[in-house]
Amino acid sequence: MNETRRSLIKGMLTGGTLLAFGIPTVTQAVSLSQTFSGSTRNCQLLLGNTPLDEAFAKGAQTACTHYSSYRQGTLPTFKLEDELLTNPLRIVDLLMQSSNMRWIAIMDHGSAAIFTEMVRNFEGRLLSLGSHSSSSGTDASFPMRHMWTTATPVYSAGRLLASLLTQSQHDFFIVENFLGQAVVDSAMKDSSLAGFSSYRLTEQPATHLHCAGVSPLEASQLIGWRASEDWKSVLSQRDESSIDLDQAATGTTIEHLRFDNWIEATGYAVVATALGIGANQDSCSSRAFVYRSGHRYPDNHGLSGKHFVSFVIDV
Amino acid sequence: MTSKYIALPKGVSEKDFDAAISDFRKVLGDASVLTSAEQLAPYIKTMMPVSDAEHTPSAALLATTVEQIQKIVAICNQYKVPIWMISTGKNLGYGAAAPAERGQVVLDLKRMNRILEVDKDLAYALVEPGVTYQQLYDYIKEHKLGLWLSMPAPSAIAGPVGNTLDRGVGYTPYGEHFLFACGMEVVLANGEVLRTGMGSMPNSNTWQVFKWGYGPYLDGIFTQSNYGIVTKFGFWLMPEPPAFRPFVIQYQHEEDIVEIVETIRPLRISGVIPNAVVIAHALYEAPVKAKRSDYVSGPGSIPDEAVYQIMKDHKLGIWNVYAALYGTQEQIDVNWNIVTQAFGQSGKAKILTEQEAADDPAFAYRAKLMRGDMTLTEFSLYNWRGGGGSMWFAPVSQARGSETLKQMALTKQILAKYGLDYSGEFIVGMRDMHHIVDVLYDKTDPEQTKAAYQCFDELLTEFSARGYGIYRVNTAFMDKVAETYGPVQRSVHKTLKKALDPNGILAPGKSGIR
Repeated sequence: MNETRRSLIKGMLTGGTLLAFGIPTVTQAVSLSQTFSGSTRNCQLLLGNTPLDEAFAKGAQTACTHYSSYRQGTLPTFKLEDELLTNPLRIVDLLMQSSNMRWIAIMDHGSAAIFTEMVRNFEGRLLSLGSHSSSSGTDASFPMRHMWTTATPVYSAGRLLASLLTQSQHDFFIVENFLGQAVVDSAMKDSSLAGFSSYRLTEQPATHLHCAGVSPLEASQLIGWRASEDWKSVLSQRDESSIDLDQAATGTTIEHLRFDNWIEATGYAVVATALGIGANQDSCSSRAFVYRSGHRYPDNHGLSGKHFVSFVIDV
Repeated sequence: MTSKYIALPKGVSEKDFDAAISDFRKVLGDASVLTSAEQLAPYIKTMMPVSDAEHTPSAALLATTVEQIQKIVAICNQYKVPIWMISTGKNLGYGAAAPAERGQVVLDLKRMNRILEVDKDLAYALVEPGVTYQQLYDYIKEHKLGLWLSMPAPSAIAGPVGNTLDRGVGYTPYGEHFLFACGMEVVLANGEVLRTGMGSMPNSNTWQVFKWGYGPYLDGIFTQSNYGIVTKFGFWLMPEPPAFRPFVIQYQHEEDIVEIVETIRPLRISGVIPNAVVIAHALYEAPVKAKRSDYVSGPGSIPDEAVYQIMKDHKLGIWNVYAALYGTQEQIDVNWNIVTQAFGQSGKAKILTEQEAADDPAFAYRAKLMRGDMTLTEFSLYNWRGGGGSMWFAPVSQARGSETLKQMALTKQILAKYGLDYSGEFIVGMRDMHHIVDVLYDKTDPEQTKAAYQCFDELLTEFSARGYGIYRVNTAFMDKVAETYGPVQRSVHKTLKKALDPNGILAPGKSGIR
């Protein structure tokens, strides 16, 4: 007895079935099809019902506004209530209706665990997965932490976020692990950042480290990498005449951007990168930015002790 | 030199891997052989305190037929390419879909998701590995079959084949899933297709009703193992009972766990309570209602005072006992009297009926699990601390009260040493008792990640030294756990592996078997 096609679709949380049976997905009409860099891919923001949605979305829309200031447009937003834990079929419907869509999402870790599984089931392409934390009190040696798994450096938001976070002069680190290396070897040209010293590991030149206020040895320990003194300094090849990538794209220098909090800045960086701003071609497998000023992020916004996950996926 | 692959199988050259991928594509088509970073990224996320790079696959294959799998294993044998088989890949907290070793090719069977048969009268199902519980649940409802499923906490998105093959459990009277398995079809490493039990006999219609067949019983060697690829799987379903009465019993003191287990054991063995009884600590239930940061900040495990405050704020016991009665109304009424008398004797228990606990979200999801309904609420555990780190620690003991406090004390002591919380529960089975602890940590915090690894390692060491075997573990610690069961068992596992899979192409490292 074979199962009927209808029950397959209805009951399924494994999107491969659709492909296997050649059932076309429903294309959602979204008005952004020609908005971003001439891309035909639609983009949407997916807010996963976290207390941080609003701040993330604000940064996201700022990025969209900057990028599309000469093209018009805001990022359409879909808000989840509590569906991932209580009614995952709704998300299945949402993904099934997505065609040629780039989703940029924020979720808590509980929902993210489910969502990641759904992305795989739908044979979605996961461009980047970020885990973002801000510890309260003295929970951790570094209170603000961003860890990304990114398909390739092309989808890396780390450098842009680092440039934004340094403005507030609070301690942070950003670690990025790239699954596939970019094909361009630019000798760290694209990832160097003002105020940071840049290094590469001698025996693993695809491991790049950018430090401010901390030695490479200490930085590697702080971020959980194998402690090594074998870091080779790379002279910054960034001269002031070179224009930041985001500046080139937006006409807005990051120095002029001001964010209310780190979550907003993260939303900006994630979305800007997803839209093609600030992407770099740094050829590396791992990269970190470690910034220590001695100033911890103040808890006056109630935004420390918070965690969330960001996704950029194509379905 | 930059490879076109994000990883390569151990010992396989890129040239040979190119050839293998080319052959895979001839069998499956280009679209079903995934090699790009974007396509493979969803297979990589683990919650273990090790680098995801250690578990990065080189490719993923999406097979849809047994014949394709036979051809795939032939290619793997030719090029010595190892594959890691997943059905739905939802073994969250145990390694999820990521392979045990870097570079293994994931054989993803999610597209093999046909429900082949559901027999209403004999109450069994035969399914392919990609079938999810949600899919089967909807099928049963749609066809008004009057049957119940038993599933683990990730219910909707997980599936019966993967869960049972990893010897997972559920919460209905059919919750010891492998006990209710009946008949498998297995593609062996040499490409032969074995049907276990009565399935090997031509013209037999008893494959899903008689487990044993003739000769050595083989099904067990295909669970928690890497001896074959299960492509069809039979299992028994529970007839929907005329009545169902879930309940929760709360206790206020940790030492009450001794009395709880002593009360439950005879009720379980006699069948008065037919499902596995969950005795959840307040910190296991708290994430449904609160976050850790609402109560505590700073380093170290959560203090007792905060736990008591959580109990008070959210009407939790320190122990929360979830069980249910099934049967006719008359049977349930009789058994309810037995249960309430047994638990009521000491005067410590607060017994809450379904009506009295109806508004409690923790009870609501537990009740759903006990009647085989879909719920993903337990995933809120991952929000307790945040940061995405989780490992299930799962030692087994006898179902005796005397086994509880010493286990809990040892667990809390080791967790506290590393600044982690005790999110634990005991589950009383038929005669055994599982002690399930979710070791939750912040994977963005390198210090805590390192501490979590050391903590888990110490838990395994200390518990095994005391004779508490781990029944299931994540891929980062499979070798260690295999070692705790002694050299003879490991040797037998290896002998079987060599006999059935001489080239070692099937999931090397699974359960420590290579």
